[in-house]
Amino acid sequence: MERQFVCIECPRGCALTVTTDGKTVNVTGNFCPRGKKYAEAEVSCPRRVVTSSVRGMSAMIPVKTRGEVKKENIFAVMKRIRALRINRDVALGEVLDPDIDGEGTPLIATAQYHREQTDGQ
Amino acid sequence: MKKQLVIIGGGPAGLAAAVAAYDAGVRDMVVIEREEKAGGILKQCIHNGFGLTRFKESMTGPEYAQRFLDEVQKRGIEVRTNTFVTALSPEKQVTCRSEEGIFTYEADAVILAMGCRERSKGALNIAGTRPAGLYSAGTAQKYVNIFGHLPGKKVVILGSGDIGLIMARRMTLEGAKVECVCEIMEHSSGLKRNIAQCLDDFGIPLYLEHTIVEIKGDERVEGVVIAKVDKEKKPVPGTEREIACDTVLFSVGLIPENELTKGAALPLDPRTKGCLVDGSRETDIPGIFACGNVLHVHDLVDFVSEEAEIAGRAAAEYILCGEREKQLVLTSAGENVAYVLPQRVEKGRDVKLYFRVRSAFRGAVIRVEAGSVQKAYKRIAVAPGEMDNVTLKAADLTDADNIRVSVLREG
Repeated sequence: MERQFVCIECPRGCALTVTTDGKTVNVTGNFCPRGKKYAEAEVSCPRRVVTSSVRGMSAMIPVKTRGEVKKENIFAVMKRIRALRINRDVALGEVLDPDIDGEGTPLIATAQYHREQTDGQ
Repeated sequence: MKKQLVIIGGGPAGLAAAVAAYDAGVRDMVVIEREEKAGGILKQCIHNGFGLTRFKESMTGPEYAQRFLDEVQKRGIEVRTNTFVTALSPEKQVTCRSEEGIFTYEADAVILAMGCRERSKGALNIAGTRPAGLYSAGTAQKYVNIFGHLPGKKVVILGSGDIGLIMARRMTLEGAKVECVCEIMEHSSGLKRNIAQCLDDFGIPLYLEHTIVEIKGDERVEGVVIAKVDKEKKPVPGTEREIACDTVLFSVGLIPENELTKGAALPLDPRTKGCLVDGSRETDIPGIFACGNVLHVHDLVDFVSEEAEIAGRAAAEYILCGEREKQLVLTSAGENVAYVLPQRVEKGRDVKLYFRVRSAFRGAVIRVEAGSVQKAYKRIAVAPGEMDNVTLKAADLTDADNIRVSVLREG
């Protein structure tokens, strides 16, 4: 079977073609090894990094999953992210939930946050 | 107040310029930022994909900004937040307003790093009323990511620029239904990977050569009428279709924020909507430099940082070594090239020429003509949404009186 993908690993956006015959997976169109890895994952188990923001006391805290979660789990992950409330100071990179997808992927803050900080711009 | 260097804007351009100027020896400087925190638009760009070129890792906007904020802080560079620049004079007086009042810096050098703003719906001439629920994509991004409010539940997005694509995914993740993205052109101006990961991943349709012809609703948006457009971008009668929605996001382009620049009587390039600069990003007024999205709109922040460092180093050289006699050569946009930046190049120095193509195609050859020197570079594909660059050595420019960049089809 042949499938086409656009690689999302970098802004280049290579047009990837994956051919599978049940046993072997062949990738063409990739500029670098990351494209091959991405295409192989797309035909077996597509995964994505999820980025969002979590409600702090008086401002939102940007977050991401440290590593990719299964694509099929994205909305379940979002539901858990939306339910989170943070009432403390947070450092950049701090783990806010050690297992956001039920498979061990942590959710981390992508900015530092002070409890009293406002969303004033 | 005297200041050797005043940098207007504390976004990615201003921060990178400050660090570069410091490292080149300038100490007496200030970065002016109108918001409560520096970092610029990156603060609300919480998605990943930043920094791949520069840091070889995929970072979110806030993480990318923090790298530079850390460098600024490490050097003890003054960042004046909650401060708004109200005027810039050709004599490099920078007038500011803050809670402390109105004050003026007398600067030896100024770096313009004000960024850009979104083109508004008003610029589009769409028929209909003015109900609630119409937002520029960046405004919606700020509401969702910074304030934590979802602007609507059923969304139509006009324009397939990257911010529109990113917001299609973001609104979907937050529980809204994005009905479609309409793009008037034959191709999206957004990155291919954003079409894949923001639209295709969530089954959001992208209608190319479509636009919104009418907005329905009095108090609140109730729907839009979309239609196919012909080659002249005029709606084709009979192709109209109504889509119910409560929100319309506009992602229809970015314009460099040059109000201050105009006040200083600096001429602007009609194509880039930014200043005319040479390779060191110096404008028509010696000692005033420009970089980042205020100079020309970039697709990738990595290139903003790189450009800001050029401006920062050049400003330092101007401050510490004085004005330099420059022998300049003009650049020009040839076939299928929308613009070339810088608009002039200094002889005796290497230069990286940035340019945008007019149309997308596969199999391209970039041709650079500089006097007796002719160069050709192959590309697998080119697209208007992807700024490209080539580097020329000082030796390539010796007998050039113009540098012309063209992009031709291969063969």
